[in-house]
Amino acid sequence: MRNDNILKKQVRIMPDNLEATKKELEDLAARGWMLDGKEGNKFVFRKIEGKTLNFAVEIFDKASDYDTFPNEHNMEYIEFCEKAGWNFIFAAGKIQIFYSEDLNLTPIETDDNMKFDVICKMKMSRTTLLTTSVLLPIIGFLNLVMSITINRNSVELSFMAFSTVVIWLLCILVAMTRTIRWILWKNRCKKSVELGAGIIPRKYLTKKAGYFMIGAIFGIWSVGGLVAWIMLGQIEAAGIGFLCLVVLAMFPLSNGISKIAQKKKLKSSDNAIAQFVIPFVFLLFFIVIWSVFIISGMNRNANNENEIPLTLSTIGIETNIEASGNENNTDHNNDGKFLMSLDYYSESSMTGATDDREIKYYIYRTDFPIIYNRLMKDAKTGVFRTFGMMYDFDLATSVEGLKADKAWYYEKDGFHYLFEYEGMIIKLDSNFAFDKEQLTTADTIFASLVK
Amino acid sequence: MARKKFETLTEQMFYILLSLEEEYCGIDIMDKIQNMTEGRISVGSGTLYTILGEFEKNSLIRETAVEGRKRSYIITQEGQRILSNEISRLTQQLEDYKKFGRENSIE
Repeated sequence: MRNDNILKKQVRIMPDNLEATKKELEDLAARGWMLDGKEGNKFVFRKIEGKTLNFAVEIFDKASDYDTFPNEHNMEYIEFCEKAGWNFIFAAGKIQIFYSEDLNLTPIETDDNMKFDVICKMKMSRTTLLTTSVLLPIIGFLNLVMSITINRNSVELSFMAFSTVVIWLLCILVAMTRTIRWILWKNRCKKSVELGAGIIPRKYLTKKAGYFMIGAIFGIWSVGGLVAWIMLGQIEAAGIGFLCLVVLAMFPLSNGISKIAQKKKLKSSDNAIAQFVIPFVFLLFFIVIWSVFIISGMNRNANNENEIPLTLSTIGIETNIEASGNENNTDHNNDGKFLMSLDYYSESSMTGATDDREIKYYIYRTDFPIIYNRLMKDAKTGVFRTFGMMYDFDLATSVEGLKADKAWYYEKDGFHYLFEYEGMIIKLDSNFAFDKEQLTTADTIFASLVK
Repeated sequence: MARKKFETLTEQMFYILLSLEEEYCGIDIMDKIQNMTEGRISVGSGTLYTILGEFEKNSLIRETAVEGRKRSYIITQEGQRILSNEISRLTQQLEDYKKFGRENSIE
């Protein structure tokens, strides 16, 4: 049940800017909210008649960051402070909070040098603990896992691996920036303390700026995903980037609705409806668009034989027109390749018949030697897959006398060919062995596709 | 041997050490210093607690009695040495000022 006399609020405590916390507590007391204790990560305030109070937010070095109640040293320290006229409110780890009605009471810490030393000790331990022992290893581990799992699908999903590397680098950059800013502040503050000018409160990003930065990073990532997947011809996957953008947009949308509701003084029932209905319609609208992405990715078929480079009939195999179909053929972004394009074709002569002849082939095109070499490396190391089928290079033997720069072939559970052209790699699987003439025809057709 | 950081004392350290020329309860030192300096110097309770701990750790003072959480202290020989050094240093500064400072600035 809601208690109007209690306010629970997150209050930021920065060891190098305790003044900001002190000021926030004083402002809240003036507005009628007196700090009473702490629950989880939130400070608990109780309703009082607003008054001007003097708060002291201090670091007690002999306490541990993980203390949940004052230790014996702490009690002694508290007694010292109470003797001086400070009323103890609570201790959260090293942070101790006191208040007094006397606005001119001697501060708890009157030696800036000592205060500075304590801040340095606490700040460094927190920063290093958080960045080096928690955040970076987690992201590094994720990166490692993703690199291993993504490897099997080669370049197509490399944006994901690339993203994790970028996010990892960003984290390192943020940690480095924090450390550099910290060192700069420390030096400046040390000089200030030596000159008797006191501790310089360190400036931090506001919460709003922090949220904006996080939003911007993920926004860029989502746009990157959207663009990369579209350019790679993975239209249906591009929807994921698109959906990320939509989910991100929900936060300012929800915030905007609350603001308008407050401004227009909407009834709570109307506000509740607005809070649910508008985002729902918004999400629905974009899900429809995402579906269009998926549909456009799935159904861009090569629907007549003129669009299919190599068909069974071109290599002299009779086909049953009704049974041979193009329904599995997907033409991904054939001409508009950015980094790489993948086209997949298949054809069956007489589905279900005992003499059914079938071909499936995958055409990878890229202008980038790095991607090309990676594809070839994947092919040779056995991680080159097309729809679950791996090319086993160890079994393959070289095929000579073709227009292809290089070609390989092997037979195992079917017949498998690999052709290398300039900027293009083709993997062909069939359920019959191509004779020399058929192979030459296929090679000539494939060579004509080189741009 | 006291650490180098106590070779020069801050004003607050100086008065804390001076107030322990006789045995005194740590928690009451704040009032004593206020009286000694006629309110010119105020030592914060947190600062006093920390300095007492540091002084004890470096053998400038020693604990004489414990009553509940109240502890009494007295200066040690090492503390006396540090205090004397500080007084010599301050006296020397005053002498130097008299010699080289602006004329008539100190009578």
